Amino acid sequence: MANQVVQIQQPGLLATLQDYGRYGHLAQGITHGGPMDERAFLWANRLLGNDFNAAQIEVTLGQFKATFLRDTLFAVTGAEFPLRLNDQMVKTWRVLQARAGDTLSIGVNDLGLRCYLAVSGGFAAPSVHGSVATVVRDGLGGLRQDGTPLQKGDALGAHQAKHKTLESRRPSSRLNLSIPPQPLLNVVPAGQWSKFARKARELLVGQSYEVTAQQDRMGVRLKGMHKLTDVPQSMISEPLPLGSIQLPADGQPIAMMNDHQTLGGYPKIGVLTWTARCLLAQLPAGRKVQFRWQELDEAQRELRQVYRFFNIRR
Amino acid sequence: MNWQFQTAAPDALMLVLEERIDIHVNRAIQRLARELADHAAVQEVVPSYHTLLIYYDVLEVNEKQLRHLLEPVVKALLAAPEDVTPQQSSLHTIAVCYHPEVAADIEAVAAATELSVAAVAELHSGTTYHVYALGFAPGFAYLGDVPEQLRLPRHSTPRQKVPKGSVAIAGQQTAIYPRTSPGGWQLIGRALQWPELQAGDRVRFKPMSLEEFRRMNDQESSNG
Repeated sequence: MANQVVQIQQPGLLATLQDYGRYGHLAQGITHGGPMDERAFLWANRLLGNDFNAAQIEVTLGQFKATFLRDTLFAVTGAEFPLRLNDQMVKTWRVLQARAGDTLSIGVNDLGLRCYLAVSGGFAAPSVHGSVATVVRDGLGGLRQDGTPLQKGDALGAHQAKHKTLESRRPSSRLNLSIPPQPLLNVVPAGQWSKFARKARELLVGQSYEVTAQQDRMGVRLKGMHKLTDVPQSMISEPLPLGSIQLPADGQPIAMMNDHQTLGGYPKIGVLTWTARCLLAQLPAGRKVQFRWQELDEAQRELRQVYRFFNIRR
Repeated sequence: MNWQFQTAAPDALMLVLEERIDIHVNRAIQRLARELADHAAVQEVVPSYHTLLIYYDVLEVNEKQLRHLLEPVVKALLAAPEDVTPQQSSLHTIAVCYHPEVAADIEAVAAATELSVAAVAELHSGTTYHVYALGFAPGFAYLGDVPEQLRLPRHSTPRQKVPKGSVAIAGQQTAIYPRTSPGGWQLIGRALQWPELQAGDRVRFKPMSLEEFRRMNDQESSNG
């Protein structure tokens, strides 16, 4: 491809190509994929004036290095990892200029898990079922279309930029995009909520939970001091919505994330709101969180704001 | 038929029919899936055995409005007679090798059911199955119902690697693993080719010998 813009020197633990996700194929067992921290992803595209769906690189736990093959505007959003353009420290969450030959290095710290590298126009790759989103487990999407993550030496092209970038080139400082010390994760009662004992519903929000190391793009296991008791029995498998909080018989919750299986048989006590899901996507093992019940109306209001603000069309 | 709506997500509603694995309940779900997929406010539907997940456009409707819009459609459909006669759905025949060399659990299944390996193969391939749902992984089709004598629980510890094309059983369900993946079902056969299945399709398995399996396998690898 003549228009190649970025070459991977070091992918780190896991670097994957992601657009907004694969929609319309859940009935065939094909999951969404897409960015774990949707907020960071959507901001990067907005800053660059890209379409909301423009493909980016999701970098997990930093340790990532890439060379720019031509001049481009780019942005890195998400976890506040140390960022270097050649030898110069640069800032996350804003539009930056790269020249051909420049090297971008993303370091690591414990301030988050994932960041997003976006370039003007968005990365180009052949789509599978209408999306380039990489789902490793299902062998779908990515540069090779077979679900393999990005590797050293991979070169990516980009689409022609359609729009000018935003003048301010950074989110308003009024927006708090950092992760609070003990994040509140809002949960809407959903699924089998009414079948859980009142005590279990109170306990979910009455104690803090620790994010465990058992987490990936499929789901995140959390652990509370006390397990939920009188959990309803496993059921006939039913469709599993993104963000669902499942409770297997061990009484400890699992939040279902972007690469979740499309059907599942564990009872669900609720579903994370959009913001809660974005926050959880950034929390390293050992971090404490607090669940809080939220009304459906409020969660829908939030979603409508997000769709309008980022101009999301499905 | 009893039914209810449940909140599933800020942008998704679950339609729940009677909780059992039953071809009539499932046909009603599939009919509702076809009908509701075309509804203006609906973005995507995901059918399972007795449930249907409905993603909708929150910019157009809130959940209360959607329930109100869909309720008459659901009621009318459930009141109408079942329209899916078996002749209308596609019937696929899939060749399966039940030889123990390519079916890791068939001898254990035979022992547990007090049948011969040949009888297990005969029973499994002597039924026409209904595709209840697709899920778990791309193209993974849940088929049923497995004959009573063959109903066994899944393994307590799943295998790390179930080979692609494995034909497996668990309880009243059977399936083909569309790609190599972890899995806890009892492996009783191997298929080399199978079509893309849709919910509502019918499937029959046709036994093939180990020699046929190998010949086909060699052909496949020389073609690929």
